Amino acid sequence: MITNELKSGDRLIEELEGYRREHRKDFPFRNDIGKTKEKIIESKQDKHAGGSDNHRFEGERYLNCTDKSIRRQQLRKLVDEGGLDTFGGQVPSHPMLDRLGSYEFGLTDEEITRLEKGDPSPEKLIVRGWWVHLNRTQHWSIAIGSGMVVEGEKKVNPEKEANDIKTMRKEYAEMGVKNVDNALRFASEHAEVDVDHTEFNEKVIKQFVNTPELQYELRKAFILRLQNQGF
Amino acid sequence: MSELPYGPEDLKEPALSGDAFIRFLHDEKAKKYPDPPPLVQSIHDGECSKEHLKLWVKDMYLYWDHAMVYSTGAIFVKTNDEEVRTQILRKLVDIEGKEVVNDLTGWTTPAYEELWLRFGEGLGITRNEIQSWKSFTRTHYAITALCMLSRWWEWTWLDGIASLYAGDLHGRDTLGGVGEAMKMHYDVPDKSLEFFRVYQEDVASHIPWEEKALAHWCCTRERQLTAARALRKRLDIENQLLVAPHRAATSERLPLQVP
Repeated sequence: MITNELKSGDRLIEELEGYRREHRKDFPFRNDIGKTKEKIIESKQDKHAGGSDNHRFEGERYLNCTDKSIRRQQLRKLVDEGGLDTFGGQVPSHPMLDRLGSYEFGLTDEEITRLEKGDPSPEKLIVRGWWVHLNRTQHWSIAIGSGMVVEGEKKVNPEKEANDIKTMRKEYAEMGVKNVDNALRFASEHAEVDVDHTEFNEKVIKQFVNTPELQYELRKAFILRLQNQGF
Repeated sequence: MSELPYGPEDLKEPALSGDAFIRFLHDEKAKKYPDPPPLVQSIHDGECSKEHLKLWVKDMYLYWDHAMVYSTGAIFVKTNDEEVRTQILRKLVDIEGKEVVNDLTGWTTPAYEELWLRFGEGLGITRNEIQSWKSFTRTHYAITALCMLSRWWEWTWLDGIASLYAGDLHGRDTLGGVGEAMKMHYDVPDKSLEFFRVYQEDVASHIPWEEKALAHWCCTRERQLTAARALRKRLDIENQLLVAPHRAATSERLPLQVP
């Protein structure tokens, strides 16, 4: 049973991390370790099906934010995820990083476009529907704060994150993947940038999730977002 | 909702005729869900335990009490064609209870949610148990997705009609024999089964105008493609609503619930 007890930002974050630890006992954070090549291809196909929704939920947060400074930091996040290469950087957009990874597993541009034009899986449809709705209709501090669930995963255990990437690198090479760097570029980029992003999420929580009502909503959003795995 | 847009290649074919489009929608439904949902099949066969039946009844209350009302009302708001909008208004009265227009018609049928509560009571569940149930998370996601697509810009009004049509076809097919199964396998008294009679009668009165509207207004290739997509999504959502109660019946642990 979640409460609306008003806590300091640090204590609230501590409580949220407790929910994460509990949930992860039964539903560990997923990645490609130990999967066969066929299973990885399946999961990549599933990821492309129905297109990418990063711009939708991140964009909703940007639109709803009423604090100029935070809004501009959110805009910077849109740039981080929408392609640093638009502004002379090296990192392409998230959908393009996804494509680069999929090419290494034999998916073609045509197949990816067909998948991205097609229907998502029913599970993905309902999770996305719920997620976009949350980001569109909740207070922007809840929407940004709830980013802690996925992005914060890398902060909780950075060593595990680095080791996992190392293990996947080895497994991909054994599968005969030619350009392992490209295959893992999405994961590698995220390992770094997500830590910055989750610090931003936590900053927003500490500064703006400061009423019993907002804290209640954040607890609920955090748990429901965790439940994206295991529902 | 995040699919790449249809391009010139997708849109170069002419639109199907109205009748052919309706047949196409039926083909899409048959292709996507050729068999009844496992939970429904087990109810029809009398193999679902009463305990799990009760879980299903509790878990579906939010659908009849909120999702149907909100998602249908949201499409009503978007519909500028008066003939179609009037039919949606009639549908809203069915959902909210025909007794709303008692002064005009003398009708006394209550809302679907009330009929659903009475059905639950027939199974031995109290109103409080049903109304205080914390939805399975999957159900919560599905209901939120339906309300979001219906309310916001993801679906046009015509996509919304396709959604209503899908919901009615699905409801007709899945709930069709449930009332009978309740009598035959679960000893639910006839007076508690009014929901099924009312619902089937209502759905039968809505399917014809939904078909007519879709056949008429989906007159371009793009409208047909997006309406078909909305129909498939509504079918996905409806089927997802039946997954968690089935998992509860077939797994060792109860599926996750909203906090």
